[in-house]
Formats: sequence, structure tokens, C-alpha cells
Amino acid sequence: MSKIKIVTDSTADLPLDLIKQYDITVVPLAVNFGSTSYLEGTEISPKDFYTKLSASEILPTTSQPSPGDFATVFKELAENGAEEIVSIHLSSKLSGTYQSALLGKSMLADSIKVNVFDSQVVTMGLGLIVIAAARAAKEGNNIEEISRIITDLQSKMNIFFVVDTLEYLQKGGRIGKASSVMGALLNIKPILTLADGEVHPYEKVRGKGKALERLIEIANTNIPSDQKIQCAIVHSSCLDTALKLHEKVLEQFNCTEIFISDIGAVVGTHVGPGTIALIFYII
Amino acid sequence: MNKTYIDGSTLRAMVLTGASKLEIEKSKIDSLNVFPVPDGDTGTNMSLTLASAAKEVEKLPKDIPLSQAADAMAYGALMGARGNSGVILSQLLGGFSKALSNADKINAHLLAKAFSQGVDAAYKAVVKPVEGTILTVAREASETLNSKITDETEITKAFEIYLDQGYNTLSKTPEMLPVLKQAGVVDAGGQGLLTVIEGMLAGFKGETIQGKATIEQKSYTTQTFPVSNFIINNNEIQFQYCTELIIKKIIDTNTTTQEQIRAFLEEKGDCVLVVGSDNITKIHIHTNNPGLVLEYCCRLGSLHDIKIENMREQSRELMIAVPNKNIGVIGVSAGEGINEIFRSLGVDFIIMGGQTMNPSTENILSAIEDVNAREILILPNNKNIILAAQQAVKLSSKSAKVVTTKTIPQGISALMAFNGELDLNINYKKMQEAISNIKTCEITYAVRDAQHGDLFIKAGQNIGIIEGEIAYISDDIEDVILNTLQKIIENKDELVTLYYGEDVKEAQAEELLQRISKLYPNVDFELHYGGQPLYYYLISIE
Repeated sequence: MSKIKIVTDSTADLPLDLIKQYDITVVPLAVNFGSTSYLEGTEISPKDFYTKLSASEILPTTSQPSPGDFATVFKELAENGAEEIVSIHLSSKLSGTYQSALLGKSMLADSIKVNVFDSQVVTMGLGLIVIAAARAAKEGNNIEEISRIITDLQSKMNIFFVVDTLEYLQKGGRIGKASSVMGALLNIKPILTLADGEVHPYEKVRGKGKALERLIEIANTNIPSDQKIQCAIVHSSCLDTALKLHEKVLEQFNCTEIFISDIGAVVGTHVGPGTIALIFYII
Repeated sequence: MNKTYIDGSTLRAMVLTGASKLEIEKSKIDSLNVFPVPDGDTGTNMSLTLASAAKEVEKLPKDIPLSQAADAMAYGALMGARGNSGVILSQLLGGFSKALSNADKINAHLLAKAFSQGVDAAYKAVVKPVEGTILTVAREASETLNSKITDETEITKAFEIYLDQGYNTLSKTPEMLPVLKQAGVVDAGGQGLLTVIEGMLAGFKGETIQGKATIEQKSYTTQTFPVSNFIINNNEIQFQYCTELIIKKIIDTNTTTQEQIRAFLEEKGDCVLVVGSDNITKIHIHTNNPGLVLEYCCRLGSLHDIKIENMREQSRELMIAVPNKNIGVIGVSAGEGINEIFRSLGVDFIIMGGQTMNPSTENILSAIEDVNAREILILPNNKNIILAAQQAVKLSSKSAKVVTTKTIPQGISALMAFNGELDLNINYKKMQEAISNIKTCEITYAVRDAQHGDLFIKAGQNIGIIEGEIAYISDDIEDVILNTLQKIIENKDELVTLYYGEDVKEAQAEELLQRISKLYPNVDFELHYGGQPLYYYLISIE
């Protein structure tokens, strides 16, 4: 029985069965519609969120967990026998969650050992790192080995995604002003990537169909032939597109595992519906 | 009430008034927020943080000892901390309360010490402290207070010193953080902090908090500080004159409504505002033709307080300060629709011109100098303009490059490859490559009789042009389009985009699209309004 416990936050967009299987503790971020606040995952499902989003006149905002939230979670885990805690979170350039976790740790007695990591990625990019860390913990690896795995994957993770519109990224301030102008007029779909913890424009493509093709091509140039990859596809309210991409990925690449997951309320607030992401790392 | 110290019960009251004050002002503070991750919710997050502190102290009896009130405040803030500014606020309060752990009341000296411990805690808590934020405001306010305090300083006076310096620093935050300056706002978190302190001071004086938000007058928002608009937009000023006036209605028979005025003005420019009552209407517009606006308004009543300003002049002065971006893009275009598409793809400055009106080297040079960017890329979009553009680049003090686009579709293709985050040379290379991914044909008509090789062309005949070479001539336009397309579309082509010109009606264009798309079932067709003169259709094939 592992004494190392893995904590992450809800922006990992981990499927529920994996959370259960690896006994991962998920600290929720909140999404706020006006003055009503919902904890991601527990109080609002992706499906409810996108329904609400389409009906809402105001754009929701999001909030990180408080340091107190983290302190409470860490303390409980310690009381239940965790000897070490590994807490892995979304990029600190996208949210203050990492900071909150650090402060939560500093509120505790030194006897509780917490290791906080900035994954520099988000959604299943973070999810894949968390799964790898949880497996390593389950196999009885020590904290140094788990840290090494996390840092290694951090640098290997690839996230490419297509949004229907840049509106959400712009309004949420998660993309630079310089890249904000991309024509809606010509049915242009921007392909974006996550690098150094931030969202960067990668390419512009005309039409969604073409964009999916480009995602595969981009992956192809990043994956040497015959290499095995660990892969995830996440989508906001467009399962059909995700399944299409899934099929193409299976045709083209040698995946050890491939997960499909919903983009939850918090990331969904910042990318909007109709977003699809291809996430992978070379094993 | 003339207290000289803060005890537990006063602190309890102060937290409550601080929280109410912040609650009232929160949306004003939200609107200031641009840093570090603009959610527009700094005010809300800080307010929720302090509300949590207020909830904790409210549970306490009124005659609570100071240290317990302080602990409850700090605990509540920490548990409720939301957002970056909320977390920093909780740390400021945490450090503040630690300084009070052995005291039963706070005098001005202890107050100053508590503020400075708060600052220490906050700086420690932040992974990478950024100056020009709430941290700087808190630090400088606290430092000034500590340096000015004497044994005679009263609590009220101490708060005033803190707030004076705080606002002073706040007003300088745009100088410290370019992102604030660009947005024309002060730091939202800093404003939030000072609002809390104001609320607490009111609580100390025994006042209650009520009424409306007041922040607007004090701050440095886009409304009160005109720089911001121009810094963001100066390279995109399409309408040069800011025109404002008041119309007083003198003739009762005039039934023009404000909606009608607005509709008229919206065709003449942007940033249109029409406000007021039936008899007095205030108008604001950015337009290239203030004369037309005045003439129109003159018919509606008597005109007052007329003000016309040239925004390009204002912007030129301001431009020197902050280069807005690394790479600016200049495109030559004619036609509203094409202009719109260019802008949506990131063109900062459009030089009107094309086949019959080639802009001069001087026109292009002045555009290069005007665009508020460090480096410039130019899309001539016409083979006759490339040379002038290259000449302008030689004369310019800025580093600039000409992407040799010969047609509008090539320009659009080049723009698709543009990425504002990459450097000039990489962009130049990618855009230059992108030109070859696309084929262009143009459908136009002869303006005079001419001989082209073996072909005789009569004035008014329709001509199909492929990559600059005449490909087909006919009296019938549809004949020209079909035959020209037949020559250019190959099996591998996937997307054909038609931009129809100002002489073509939308219905006509759609009808044509219907017909040709049936001929090429494996190709996607798109139709857009280009609005270009002379050319019925610009067509890109990729």
C-alpha cells in the first residue's frame, strides 16, 4: 500500500474512473456565473456547464481554490496515513492554483510533507502526468523517482488544439493581444499550442475539417515513425469530432493508451465550446 | 468619536466596513483588471476574500480581545482567498495580524509595524513578485507611513498618510507595468487594497458604509485618460477626426429620432454615441468627414459645443512612448470587404490602392513610420506596387520587409501564415512561402481597346486573368469565369474562394457560385464580399 498520495486539481479533466482507479484527490476550481459559484466536477458537470454557457448572457469567470482549501485537503490526507503528498497543478501562468497550493502547504506543520508541482500544462496534459505519477506511486516508487517522472513528462508533453473562436481565450485573457486578430470572416480556425506554460498561436487553417487534418499532420512531424505514444483527446461539447480524431490517431500512430475526455467547466470557460485538443507524449 | 487606538471591537467593526466598502466597489475594480491574468474579476475575488474575513469576525462577540479579532480576520481571509489579488490580500492581512499577537490595542506605531509585516508576508508568499501591482502599493504606503510616524500621530492621520502614498503609488502603476499603460488603467489589486483601507478607516471613525461606488473619479480609467484608446488603436485609426457636438432642437416639426441619427452616423464612422433627451442631443463620432456630420446635424437643430480633433496627431505624439507590438503589417487594398478581411487577419494599416491607383513610395513610407510597431511587413498585393514598397523600405529608419504579394488572394494567403509571436525574418520566410500555395485568377473588363499578343480586346469586353496573364476574353462574363476556372482548377485543389467586387450584386454572385460549385463537386467553394473596384471577381484556388 503506497504511502504517497497524489493530489491534482479539476482542470486535469481526468475521467472519473481513472480518479477512482488510482485514488487521486482532486481539488476543484470554481466557475462563477455572475454571483453563483459552482465547484467544477462536483457541482457542475461538463454537460451542464455547456448547456448553461449557451443559455447565459454573461460569460462565466473562474476562481482558483483558496490556500485554505489545499491546507484542509493535505491535512486530511496526512491524518489518513499519507507519508508524502505530491500535488500537481495546471500551469502557473494560466492560474494561481499552483500558488494557492504552495500557500496551503506553508500553512501546515512541517511534519506533513507536501511536494507541489507546476505541470506547465492543463487539461489531460496535466491528466497524463498525474496518471503517470499515480502509477509510479502505486508501484511503490519513492518521491525522488516520482518527481523525476513529473519533470520529465512536463518537458515532453505536446498539446495542440483548435478552437471554434478565439473570443473565449481573448475575453479570459489567456492569449496575448498580439495574436488576438484572426479572421472569423474566412471561417478560419486557429490552431494553438501550449508552450512554456502559456497559450501560443501555432497556425491558421481554413475550415474545421482541414484543422483536424492539420492536427494529425502536426503530430506526425513531432513523432518519429514507430515511436509509441501516450495520448489523450479532449473536447468541449463536440464528442463526434473527438471520435473522428480518435479514429485517425489510431490509424496513424502507435498508442500505448488513448483517453477521450470532456473539457470541464474551468478550461471550457477559457476556450469555449467546440474546442478539440490532441495531447501526447513520446514514450 | 475620538479614539486614539484600535481595540478588538474596533478592529471587528473595521473589517466589516472594509468588506462592505469593497463589495460596493467591486465591479468598478473588476473593470480595471488586466494583470496578471485578466479575468475581469479582481474586485470580485478580493471582495469574496474579505467577505470571508468579515464572516469570521462577525461570529465573535463585540467585546472580543484584539488578538482574537485579528486572528479571525486573518483566518477568514486565508480560507476565503480567491484569485491572485485575493491571495495577496489574505497574506497582507495575515502578516498584519501576526504583528498584533501580543497586543490588546493598536496605536499608530503598531499600526505601521503591522502594515509592514503584512507587506513582508505578501512578498514572501508570491513566487515571483511583480512591481506595479498591489504589492508595490502596499509596500510604498507602508514604508512612507513608517518613515513619517511620530509619537503624536493619531490613528486617523496614520491611515491618511497610508492612503495618500497608496494613491500616489497607484497612479504610477501604469508607468511600472506596460500592460496597465496599454489598457489605460491602474492596477486593480492596488485599487482594491486602498478601497479596503478606506472602508476600514470609515469603520474606525464609527461611520457606516452605504451608497454608490465612487472609484471612478479617483482612478485613471479609459474614460478619464484618453491615452489608452490611442495607445491601443493608434495604428488602426481608420477614422481620423473625433467629432463632438450638441444639437438643440429648435423646430418642433423635426421628427428625426435618435435612432435615425445614430443610423446615419454609423455609416460615417465609428465610436458613435448619441445620447440625451428629445430636445438636446449629444453626439460623438470618429469620422473622416466631419463636414458631412455637421451638415446633417445642422438640419436637425442648432449646434453647440462643437469640437473636432485630429486623432492621428494625438496618436503620433503618444506613439513614441510605447511601441505597441513587435511586428506591424501594412497591406495595400481597395474595397471595403477586402479591407475588413485584411484587418481581421491582423493587418494594422491599410493603404488604399491597387491597379489604377498605385500608392507612392512616400505613401508607403509614411505608413511604415505611422504604424506603432518595431518592425514592419508590407503586402503590396499588386505587382506594380512591389517596387515602391521596396523603395520605401530602403528609405525607412525602421526595419521592414516586403512580402512580394502580387494579388489580393496572395496577400490573404501570406497573412494566414503570419504569427505575431515569431520574429520578422521567420514570418517573412513563411509568408513568402505561403504565396506559392495559392493560385489567383481575376475577372475584369477592358477599359479601352488593346492588343495583347495575338489577341484583340475591345473596350468593355470581359477578361479572365490567371497569375497576371490574360487567359480568356469574351463578351459574356459567365463564359469568361467558367473558362478561366477550367484552365486553373486542378484535381488536387480543395478550396476556391470568390471575392465579388463593388459592381456585382450579392444575388448575382450567389447564383454564379451555385452553378460553378455543381461543376466541381470535389471542391469547396466560398463566397465573400470584396467590394473591390474594376474587378468583378478575385478568385483564389488552393
